[in-house]
Amino acid sequence: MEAGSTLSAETEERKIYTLSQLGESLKRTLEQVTQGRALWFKAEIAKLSKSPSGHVYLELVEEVDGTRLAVMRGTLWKTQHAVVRESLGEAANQVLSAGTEIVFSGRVNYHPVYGVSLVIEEIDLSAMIGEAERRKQATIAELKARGAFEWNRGIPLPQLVQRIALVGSPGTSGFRDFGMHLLRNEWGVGFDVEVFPATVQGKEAPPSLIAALERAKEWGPDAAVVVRGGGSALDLDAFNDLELCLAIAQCPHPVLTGIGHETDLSVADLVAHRQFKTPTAVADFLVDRMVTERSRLAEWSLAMGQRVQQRLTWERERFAQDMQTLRLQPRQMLAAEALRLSHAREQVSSWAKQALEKHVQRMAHLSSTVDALNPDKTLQRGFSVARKDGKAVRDAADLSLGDNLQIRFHKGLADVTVTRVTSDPDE
Amino acid sequence: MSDSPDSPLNYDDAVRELQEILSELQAGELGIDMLTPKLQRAGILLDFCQGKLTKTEAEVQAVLKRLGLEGSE
Repeated sequence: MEAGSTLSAETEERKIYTLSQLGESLKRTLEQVTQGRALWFKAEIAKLSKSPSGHVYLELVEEVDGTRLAVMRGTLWKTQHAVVRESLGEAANQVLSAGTEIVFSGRVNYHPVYGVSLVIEEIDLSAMIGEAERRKQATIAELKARGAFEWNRGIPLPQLVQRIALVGSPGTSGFRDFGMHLLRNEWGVGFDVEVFPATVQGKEAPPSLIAALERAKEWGPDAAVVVRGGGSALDLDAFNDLELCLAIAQCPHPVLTGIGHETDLSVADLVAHRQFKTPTAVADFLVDRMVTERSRLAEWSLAMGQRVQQRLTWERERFAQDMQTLRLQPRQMLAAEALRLSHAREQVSSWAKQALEKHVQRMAHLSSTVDALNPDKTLQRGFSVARKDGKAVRDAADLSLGDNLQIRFHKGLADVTVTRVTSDPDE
Repeated sequence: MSDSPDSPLNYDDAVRELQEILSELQAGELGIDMLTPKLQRAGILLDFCQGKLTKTEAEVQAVLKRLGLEGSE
């Protein structure tokens, strides 16, 4: 057994030490190394328990990828515990819980019965926040490089978000706030909410949330809501986890987050479809959206009813008009046709008569003309025709004294001899 | 009339032909030889139209009655 420098193993005669001797030696060696000073450490709290006397005992571990590299006990004496809690303020409960990686100052103590332990004197919250912030920035850089901030944002939020997968820790204030505001809204809007429980704090939170998101995905919601009530910056550190943020970003449905208080912004908020300041704000948004959508639908259906009514009234009026037209128009048409026919009948008869009359008149005229050309008529009026050698005499100059002429009267003939000839009838 | 050798096909044709005869008559261009046949034709047409009109009137009446549009008058 290696027993340290204060024990001698080189003597010829075997020397047998007691455990307490070994313990004393270890204790002295430790005191030499640390010189009684407090040193700064960082370690994760694996377990934590409080004794009835008020002292707090911790199991501190160092793990890398699930492999334990070191385990050591930590002690926070009752008086110091009060001081530490005071300095941590509202973060005290979060910090002093399993899963937290703490940065603390402590003295290395060795007790022959209880072994090595670290007596914690101070926990440096700002250093822890600094650590957390560094991890957060690294996560942001990684997600940005992958373009993950746009993934979930690119999925459109349905107009009606009714089927909601609620991812959170039932019983926590944020979870209750969300449920109260969503389900007991003054509008009486109903939602189909399925709870996917998850741990939202500490080291177990990211894998638990990822598993819950995975189950939610199978359920097929309109949107998933991730809620977590307010807490210290460290409380919300789980929501800066790279794997969790990738899981949120890769969800096939929009993910809404309501994590922490007004001022908190986690990386999960950044990769979500939309982030809200508190769980209550998410609930109010969903209720508002549903109310807006519902009133819009109500308006539409009202307007649609009015339009249909208008249209029906209009159609009825038109139908009545059509009926009237149908009733009157054929009669009017028939009456007009009857009038036209009777008019035509009159015209046929009167114009036919006129045409006939015209022909009769033309005949009368012709016969009077023929009449007028008959020489008998002239003789009747006292004219007579003188003929010489059978030819009618038209000029006295054609005659000579002693010529024998035959005179024809209307009735009878006479033979005469020419005794004088004058060219001028008035002489 | 409808069994006349060259009876009009329909009312509109009959009216059109009647109008032609009328305008010939009106213009006084019709010779005496054509007067009688034209007049006879006009008579046929007039009778055809009148018959068609009477028949249509009865049909319209029947349809309107069936549609319940008759009787309110």
